[in-house]
Order: sequence, then C-alpha cells, then structure tokens
Amino acid sequence: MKRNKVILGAVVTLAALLLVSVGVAPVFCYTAAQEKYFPRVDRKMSPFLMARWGIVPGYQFPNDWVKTVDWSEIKKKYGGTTVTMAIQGHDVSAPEMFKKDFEALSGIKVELYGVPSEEFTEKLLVEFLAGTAKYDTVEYYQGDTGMFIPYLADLAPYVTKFKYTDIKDIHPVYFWIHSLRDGRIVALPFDSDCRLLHYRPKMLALAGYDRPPKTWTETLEYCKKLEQALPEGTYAIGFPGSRHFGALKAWMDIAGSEGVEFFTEGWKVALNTPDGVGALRTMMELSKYAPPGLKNWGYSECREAWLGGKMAMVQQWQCVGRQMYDPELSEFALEDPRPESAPLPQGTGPNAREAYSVVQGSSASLTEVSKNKEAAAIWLFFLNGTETQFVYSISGTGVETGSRKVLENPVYQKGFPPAKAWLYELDYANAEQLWISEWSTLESLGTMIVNYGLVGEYTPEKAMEILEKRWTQVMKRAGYYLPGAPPVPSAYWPEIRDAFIEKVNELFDSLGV
Amino acid sequence: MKKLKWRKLLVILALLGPAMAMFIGLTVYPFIKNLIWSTTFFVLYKPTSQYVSAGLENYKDILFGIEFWNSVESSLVIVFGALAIECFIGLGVALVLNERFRGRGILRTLFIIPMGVMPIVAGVVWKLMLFPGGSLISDILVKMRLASGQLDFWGDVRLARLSVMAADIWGWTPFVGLILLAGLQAIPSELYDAAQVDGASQLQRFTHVTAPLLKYAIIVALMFRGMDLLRLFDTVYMMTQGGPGYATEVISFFIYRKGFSEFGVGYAAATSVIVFVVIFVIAQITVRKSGIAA
Repeated sequence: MKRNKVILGAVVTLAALLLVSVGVAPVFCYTAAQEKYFPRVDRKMSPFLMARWGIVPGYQFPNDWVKTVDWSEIKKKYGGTTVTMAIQGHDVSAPEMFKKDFEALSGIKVELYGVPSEEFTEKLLVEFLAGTAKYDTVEYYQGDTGMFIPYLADLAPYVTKFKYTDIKDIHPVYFWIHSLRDGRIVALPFDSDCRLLHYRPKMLALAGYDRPPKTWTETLEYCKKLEQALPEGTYAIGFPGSRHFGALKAWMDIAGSEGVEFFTEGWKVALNTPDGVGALRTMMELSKYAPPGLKNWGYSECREAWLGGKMAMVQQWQCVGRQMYDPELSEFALEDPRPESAPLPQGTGPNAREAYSVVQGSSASLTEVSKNKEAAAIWLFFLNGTETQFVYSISGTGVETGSRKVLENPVYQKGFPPAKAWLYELDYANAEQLWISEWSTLESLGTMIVNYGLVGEYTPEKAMEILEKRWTQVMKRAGYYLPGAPPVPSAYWPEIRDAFIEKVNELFDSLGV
Repeated sequence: MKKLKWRKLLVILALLGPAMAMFIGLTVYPFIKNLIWSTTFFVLYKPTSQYVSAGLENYKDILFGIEFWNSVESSLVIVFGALAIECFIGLGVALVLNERFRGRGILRTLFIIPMGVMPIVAGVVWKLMLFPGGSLISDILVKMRLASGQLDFWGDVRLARLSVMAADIWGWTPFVGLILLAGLQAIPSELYDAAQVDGASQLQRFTHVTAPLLKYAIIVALMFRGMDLLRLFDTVYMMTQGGPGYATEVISFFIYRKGFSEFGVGYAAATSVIVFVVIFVIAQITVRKSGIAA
C-alpha cells in the first residue's frame, strides 16, 4: 500500500514537472542549441569585473522579448534577407557585439555602416534629401529627431505584429525624448544619457570634505579649497566646454536648476535673464579651477582627462562613471575609498527648482525608404531588448540603456554603480530638445555663443543677449511667430510626467502589448 | 573647304568639349546655384525653404552681424601671420639651398617632406603634440625652462591661433621656399659678378639685385599661399574646430559651420559669394599692380 502511494506520488510529481516544463517552455521558448545565441552577460563582460562586482553568469530577464519570440518562425520567414544600419562610429561597438548572435538566431544578415559622428548628421541628412539613403535602420543623435522625422517610419504596427513587449520597460523619460512624436513611435532609445557629478572621495578628503557638493555655490567653494589642497597636476573640476559639443550642455546643467526655460508663451526666447546670465558666470568661475584646454574639450577630451586622474570632480555623462571603475581605462579605478557618482549640484537662486541634467542620447529608427521593414524592425527590437541593453550597458561599451527595468535591476546597479544617482535624476530631468526641426540650428548657435562667453570673448550679459537675438531670428524665419504655430512644449519632466505616462499607457493598450 | 571647316570644328569640340563640360558642370553650374541660394532662406532640413526668397537679407545679416566679422578677424590674423613667417623662413631656406655645398641634394629632399604629408594627417599629429594636459610641446618647453607649466594651447585664444599657424607654417614653408629657390636660380649670375666688380656689399647685392628680381616669385608665392590660407579648413577642422571661442574660426570653417552645422545653406551661400568677390578683387589688384599681367 505504502509502495503504491510512493509510486503514485512519483508519477504525480513527474507529471507535474512535465506539465510545468511543457507550460514554461513556450514562455522561454529557447532550446539548448539556441541558448548560446542569446545575449548573456558572462559571454560579453570581462571576468575580472564580473568577479569584482559579484555578477552571477546567466540571464537577468528570462521573460524579455528576445526569449519569448518564436525565432524558428522568424528564420523561416525572413532568413536570408539583409538589414542595413547607418550608425555613428563611436556607438558601433554595441551592435557589433550582438550582430552574430542576432544573425544566428534570425537568419537575417546585418550590415553596419559606421560613420564618424562629426560628419554623421550632415551625411545622413543630405542622403535622405537626395533620395540616395538606402538604410533600413538608422541611429542618430536624438536632438536631430525633428530634422529626420519626415524620413522615419512608425514602429507601432511592428510593435503589435511582433508583440514587442520590452517597449513597456523603457523609462518614460526616455520614451518621451526618443520615441513618441505626434502619436507615432518614431524611434527606440539606443543610447540613453544623463549627466552626473562623478567625484573621487580621496581627493575631496584632502580639502576636508566627506561628501560631494549639493549646490553650484557649494561647488565653487569646494573648488577654491581643493585648489590649495590637491597635488600638483590635479585640478578641482572639469566639464566639456567646447564650442563643438559641450558648452551648451554644461551651461544647461546649471541654468536648468536655476529655473531657466528656453522659451516662454508664444515661443518668446527667454535666455537673457538674470538666471541665464548667472549660470554662465558660474560656469566661467568653475572653469578657473579646471585643467588647461577645457574651453576646447568635447566629450572625449574631458573623459580622457578624468580617467587620467587629472580632476577631483567631473560633470559628465553617466557612462564615464562606469568606466572609472575599469582598471584598463582608469588611472584611479582601484583608489580607496572608491570613486562615486552623485546627482548634479542644484541652483540656489530665486527661481531655483529641483532640475537635473539634460537627458538625451541617440535614437534608433526604422526608415521610410526601407524595403525590408519587418526584418529591420526585428533587428531594432532585438537591439533594444531588455537583456541586450543590460549587457551592452554593463559591459562598458559606452552605449547606455534606456530601460527602467534594467536601471532598477540590483545586479545592474552593482555593475553600474552610477545607476542609483542616474535613476534619481531621471525623476527631475530636463530635456533641452524641443522636438522641432530647428533645434539643431539653435543648439549649434547656443554651444558656440556660450563657448564665446566661457573663453571671455563676450561678457556673460553680451553672450546671452546675442544668443537670444540669434535664436529669435531663427524662430522668426521658421514662422513660429505667425498664427497657427504649435504650442511650446515643456522641457521639464515633472511638469508633464503624469499626463505623458497616461498617454503612453493608452497607446500601449491600443497596440495590444 | 566647307568640309574642312566642319572637321576643324569637330576636332576643336572633341578636344575642348570634355574640359568645357567639366567646367560648366563642376564650376559654372554650382556657382550659379550658389548665387541663387544666397538669396533664399534655404535651410537644409526644410527642402521647400530653397524657394523662399530672402532678397538681400542674408547679405545684410552677414555684413551687419558680428559673427562674420569675427571670422574675418581670425582669418586675417592667421593669414597674415602665417604668410609673413612662411615668406621669411622660405626666403632664408631658399638662399641657403641656392648655395653650393655638400649634401645640398639631401637637404633639399628633406626640406620638402612636410609638403607630402596630407594636411588632415598633419592636423592630427599637431593636435596630439599640443594635447591639453599631456602636450609634448609643453613638456619640451618646460624642460627647456621656457614655460613654467602645461600651456593651454586649446583654451587660450593667442596660443590656439599660434598652434594653427605653426601647423600651416610647418607644412607649407617648403612650398614658398621652392618657388623662391626657382626664382633665385633664374637670376643670371652675371648680375652678381657685375655688382661685385662695382664694389657692392653682400647686403647691397641682396637689396639691389636679388630682391627686385625675386619680386615676381615672391608675389606668386604670396598669391598662391594667400588664397590657400583663405581657404584653410582641414587643419582647423582637425585641430581646434574653430575654437576656443572664434579664435581660429577662419572664413572657410565659418561657411562650413553655417552650412553643415546650423544647416543655413542660404546664409552660407551668401557668405561664400562675398568671400569670392573679395578674393577676386584682391587677386586682380595684386596682378595689375605687380605688373605680372603685363
């Protein structure tokens, strides 16, 4: 009797296990043979850093889109086709990392065309205008979205068709700045950025500080003290200040927290205000405590100086905060106490508000000219899969995730230490881009004239006066002061957050994901 | 007779045709198109804007705005600075290489090496040598006790201009030197012999024989280099991107920035028309006054 019960129990257990495995298998939908092709962190990340951060090999997101889609079906339907992608040279490492995995899974061949980022926008724009662009997918600086919109296809039908559920994991701030334009999903976040204050506690301790500065006024005080305390060849602070790519963003970090808005009602340019001028003055003051060359530093020059150990603090993108822990890249990776990242300092003026860095990055889109839109959409979904993003971000490619699920993942937070400060900043983000095609012109002018001020060729008052005049001229010629101009969108996330999230949820419901 | 005339005409057309087609297609047509665009508010990302007439508004903006004049100032400083130094060093080198001495052939070959280096490559090398925070040139100057610390080649207006000039001088002094050397070799030696017989000193021989007869060679070198320098782009693009501020934003870079960074094609086209007119007038005056045309 007892024996029968044991046999019965064993049969039931086996049946249950069988049922569970049968039931679960379609959910994971990958076989042992296929498994090796899925993005997995231990196949892409250095074992040294894996051990250092205590990252366990394996999958973090067993139910993300890449693992639930039926790859054999996709292979049957799209195998043998080719998808092309134009991409900025410095970002090519991330898709390169997954190209082979994707090709093995889907049978779709991927051709990547890396173009130096300095010439990327004009090349792409001219090709689109001339009708010679043949790319199925493109990756581009997100601030240029307004210019490229006429050439971008709506991803919504493909989201529905392929049940791309990972779209719901995208952080709403990044969905706001990258993806949604006039109800269309024109892009997916490819590289999602945010600026932080990275600092070396060991250096701050030399001046008697045990925490990073919390306001810009305090930052200046820190700089004055650090100048006396730091060893020769080490400077208090750094930030990209070049006229090519940097000065405007550094100014915006300060100006945003002092309450500066680019435009008020009716597209009236509002830069020449006491807060705007004051922000430039603060920036000029800070530059006095920076290494030589800062006024011509772009992202790379600033990154090299920071990782070379030339500064105690740096106002930079979050990826630099990940790279500073890598001994192959950073001079102070093993410094004790270890380097940290904090939210950017805040304003103290009469209009100050809790507003952090500008959020931006680069977007990935499907083009209107693509003759192979379905296969191209699959490639984009794979590239923006939650696990894929987790891997390319944590392994230090410099291409960063826009997925909230990844940012909140404890393993990610271990391997990407700036993640907590980054996540915090996103709730109070500023988006400088206004999704108008004129933004590229405005940004170029802004970067230029702020740099003139930083160099001392214009006084802060004159710089802001000229900038306001030039922006007004651009807006006037583009017809923004004529009847029927679109309303001014807010660039401050907390002001539009709830309404936006509601709109996005409605969209997802309508798409059935 | 008539047949012969036709045949002659065909031969002329066959010989000149390709060159004329190239000239019309690659010079005349773009020039006219540029002229038309200069009177529009054409921005690259709005293709229809090329049909929005601006009249002379772009020209007014350029001439009464501050940015164009900033770039004119930067161009003039760099053009005149580099030209003067290139001429001075080029003349010195030409005088040396005109003398007979052992190893002259090797020295002449070494002297022209920089001309073989592409400007964009030279720009990268100079950029690395002046890289802020770890500049090779700064280190050398510090070791020689000519500087007390790292020099801010990229952040300081004067040093940035000097850096761009240095790269150009390094690359193009040999060209000036070669033209002047050719000029020197064309001066008949009898004139020097006669001057020597008349008791002229070395300096007098230089000022009364060499300099006047070298005049045309100097003018040709100045014209070529002057026009080249007004079109200076690659070195600036590679080294400074026109910064800091507008310190090294020469006119050609300014036009590029307006056209391809701000996408204001109409404005950029109008600027290039103004620059064309200025260069044309200067070249005409130089040619006429110097007597080269005669």
